[in-house]
Amino acid sequence: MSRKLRETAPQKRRRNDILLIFGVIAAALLFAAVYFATQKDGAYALVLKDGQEIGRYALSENITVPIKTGEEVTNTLVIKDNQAFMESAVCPDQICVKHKAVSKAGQTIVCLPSKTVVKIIGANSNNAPDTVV
Amino acid sequence: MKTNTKTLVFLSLFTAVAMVLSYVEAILPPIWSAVPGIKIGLPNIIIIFLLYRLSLKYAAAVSIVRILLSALLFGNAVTLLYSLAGAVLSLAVMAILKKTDRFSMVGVSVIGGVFHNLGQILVAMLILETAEIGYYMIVLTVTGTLAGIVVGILGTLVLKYTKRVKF
Repeated sequence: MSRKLRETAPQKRRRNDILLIFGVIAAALLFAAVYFATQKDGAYALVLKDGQEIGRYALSENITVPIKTGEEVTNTLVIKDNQAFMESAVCPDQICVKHKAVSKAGQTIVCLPSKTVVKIIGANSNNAPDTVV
Repeated sequence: MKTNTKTLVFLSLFTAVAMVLSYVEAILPPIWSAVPGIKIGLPNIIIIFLLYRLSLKYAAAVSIVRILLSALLFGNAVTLLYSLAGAVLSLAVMAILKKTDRFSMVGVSVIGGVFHNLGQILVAMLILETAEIGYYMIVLTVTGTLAGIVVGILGTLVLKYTKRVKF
């Protein structure tokens, strides 16, 4: 592999391609393994609107939280079995509703149309008001 | 550094084709709505084709004009920043990899796809000032690889069937 070739043969290129693809996927898997191994369980679900905290709910309770934009209820957040998920949203894309339930510190559910972010934090993690567009 | 009229016309044509491809991609339904940002990167077929057929200079010119025009027509300043970061990083890495002459267009395009996503995620981290979205890169690396394979195969075909056309 180390010798320098002027023109790499097509079969060799194909083999290199396959090695490259496997290398990239392996790197992703490694990153995933490190990420999931270092993930901590969350304790609270924060509701942020325009980057401002408007509510904080313990994941240990089972509740349904209507999230208002102005007077209108635009999203419904449900906390159940230590997980938080968006049950409904009035926007057409429904990205936040399709998002899987979150429970680990740092995970977020973002609803762009209503500028709402649901963020999971750990028991003692500080919540810097980091904005998510 | 003289570009003749014929080349200029071809470059304009390819810019138009790349713009149509980005429009087509924009109106396609999202591939996986839970993770926004997964795209095949159809305009990259044109960019990688130009990189192979003409030069890095022309590929970069078409790429940047395409992005500026797309942002002007369908996007905004923020999407422009994402697109530019992705395109510049992706093209730079593709040009380096092509120069090593160790990989086919598919390999080069895979790296291009992955680095396109990486550039966008890095900009997102800077704009949102949060490192937490970095985990998106796990999914985006895999999808970027698949997208790169598709683009690489299509680019190879375009290169093959335009062999007789003189630019």
